[in-house]
Amino acid sequence: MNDRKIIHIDMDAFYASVEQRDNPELRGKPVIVGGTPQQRGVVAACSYEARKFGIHSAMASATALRLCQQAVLVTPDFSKYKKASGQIHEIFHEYTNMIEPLSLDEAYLDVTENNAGIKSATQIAKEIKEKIYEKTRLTASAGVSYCKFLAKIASGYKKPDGLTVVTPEKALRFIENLPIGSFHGVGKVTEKKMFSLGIKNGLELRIKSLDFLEEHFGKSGAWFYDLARGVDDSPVISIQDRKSMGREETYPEDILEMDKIKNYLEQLCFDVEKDLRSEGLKGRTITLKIKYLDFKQITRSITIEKAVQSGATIYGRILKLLDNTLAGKKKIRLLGVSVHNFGDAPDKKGQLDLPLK
Amino acid sequence: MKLITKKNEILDSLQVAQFFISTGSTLPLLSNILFDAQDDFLFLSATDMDISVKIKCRVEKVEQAGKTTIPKKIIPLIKEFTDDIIKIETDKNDNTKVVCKKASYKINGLPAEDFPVLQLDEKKLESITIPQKLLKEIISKIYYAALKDTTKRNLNGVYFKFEGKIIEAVATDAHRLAYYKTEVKTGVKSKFDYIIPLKTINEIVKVLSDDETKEITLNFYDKVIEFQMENMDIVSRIIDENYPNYNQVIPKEFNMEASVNKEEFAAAIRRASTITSDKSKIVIIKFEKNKLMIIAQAQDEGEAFEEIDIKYDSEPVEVSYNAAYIMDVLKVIESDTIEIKLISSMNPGIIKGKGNDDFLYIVMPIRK
Repeated sequence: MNDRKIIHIDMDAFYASVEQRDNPELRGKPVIVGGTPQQRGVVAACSYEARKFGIHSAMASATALRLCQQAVLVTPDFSKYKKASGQIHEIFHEYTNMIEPLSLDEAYLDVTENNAGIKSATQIAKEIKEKIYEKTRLTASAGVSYCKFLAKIASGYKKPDGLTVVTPEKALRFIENLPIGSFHGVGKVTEKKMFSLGIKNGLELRIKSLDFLEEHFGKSGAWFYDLARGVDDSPVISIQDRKSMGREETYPEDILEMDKIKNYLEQLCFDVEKDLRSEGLKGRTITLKIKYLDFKQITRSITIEKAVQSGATIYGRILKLLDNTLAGKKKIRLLGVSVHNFGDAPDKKGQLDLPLK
Repeated sequence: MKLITKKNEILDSLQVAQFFISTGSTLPLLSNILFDAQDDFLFLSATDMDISVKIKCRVEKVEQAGKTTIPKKIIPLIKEFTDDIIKIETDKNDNTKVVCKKASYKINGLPAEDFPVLQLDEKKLESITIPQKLLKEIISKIYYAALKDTTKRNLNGVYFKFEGKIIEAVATDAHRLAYYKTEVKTGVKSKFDYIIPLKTINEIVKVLSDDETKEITLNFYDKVIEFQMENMDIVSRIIDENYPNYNQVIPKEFNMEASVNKEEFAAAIRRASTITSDKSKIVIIKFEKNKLMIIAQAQDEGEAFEEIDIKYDSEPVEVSYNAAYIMDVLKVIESDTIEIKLISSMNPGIIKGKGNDDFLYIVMPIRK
């Protein structure tokens, strides 16, 4: 599969850049887009000026404002971001329909076969970047490679307004120097484990045997083994093929307290809402996933008649599903929330209800 | 525990017990079946904590009384044995040895002491004993109309009301409602009403007998209901919510009444529904003087037209329904002729068997 051409496009400080574009007074200033400290809000995005102060997304807004007192806090206006995202997607579609959006500001494109008949993916990436700037006055960074894993790392290599190409010939050298935390599938917990096994970068990962990795990481072992060798066959999956949308998180410490579990779940529900919103999707089946400390994994689902998108509604259902688990009794290491079965119950259109009271 | 049995003495009971084992439980114990052997009987119990079953079966010989819990994989194992003597023996660590001829299996179980039971310790309020066949008839006539999901918890079950000698039962998913009313010989002194979870109903209907002479006793408690049969005892939690006022949605006066041959109508609806798309099974039913027409259309797929002779003398009317809702009720009506009664194309309509007032089906149309 090494003859694929994959581009990863990542908008630069997307929400913050949109705000700076629309409000000249914000240009050149540290801008934080997020909830207010009073709402116990978090940073959804921040401008490059703000990043210099150590501010990053997912940080509590209160902390961010402590780090940089002159920062301007802007409440997110998703309609604006969605509009810009729509314009960007129109540009993508000029080249290919094989688009896998990760969020409003990030997407994979498979341009192996493209509408423009251009052989060079680098050329396409360059054109896309230019067109994005022409149309939206926003900059994007692009990564070009033969697989998703390397394309994504490449787009983050030089930011903002970067374009990085990782050819199959350069891939192994490129991977050797990558910090282990940037590998797809290595979260905080796995990173810690990698460190404890003496693996800090791609080279140190590559010298480990498949047996060794499988022994320590189970099924993921083979995945890491392949990544270290630049092998990633995962396809670009366009939205039309998407069956579900969800978020999950492995937590650095195992959780037992119900309050904490509920807080985490609420956050996941709102993240799922954000994803659903960005694709304009609503779903009828809500699934809660829990992995306990002993790695036993369970899922609990409910299907409802009316498709939902709102995080609050999803959270309400998740809480009911939570009753049917050992949460609070048995330590939990991973929580996940997903929504599938998109669209309203198809057979209920126009069906009248009995006036039951 | 140590016993000798034949395959056919316990296999059916084990398979019934299997219905009640919870799926996807986090408690390993709930995936097991409780074996309790005493006096040449084996009692099998299974539960998912909402419903539990205890089945009594006679075995060849109990050599040593005792209890244990065995994972459900013993069922396919026993099923595959030839019909010879099977020896089941459990050691003190709850590991069970199953021996049949020269085959020998060991299955690791869990202690019986921790096996959960649905408590019946509250005071029994009252009981009623009725033929199993009647209960089966009531349930079969209505339970398909209950809500299949839990979006409205109180509708995810079948409602029963016992008052004197009268039993009323209702199931609805808010789009259609099935109602059954009957009188029994010996009733209850006071009044009881329960919403029995659909899951329980689905299991009960499987075990009820068609034999006229077999009876079932319903024991009423505050939060649970117990179904006692000759060799089986089922305890179920009830849905502790209010059931909607169904009487209020059953229309009493109508503007149109039709008398229709059930078989002709059912066949025509079944044919027409093949043209509707899977997602919306909409059929338009037109009533004109002494004739009924069924029209269905599916975009890009085709059209259906059916006409049957009926007895109808009211104003012409046209009303759309979900064909599945109509087919459901036509399957359970036994009369040759059905009556359809309507108020308008936007109001609830009634379908019932002619000459049978025990059973009513109320269905809401689809807006045009």
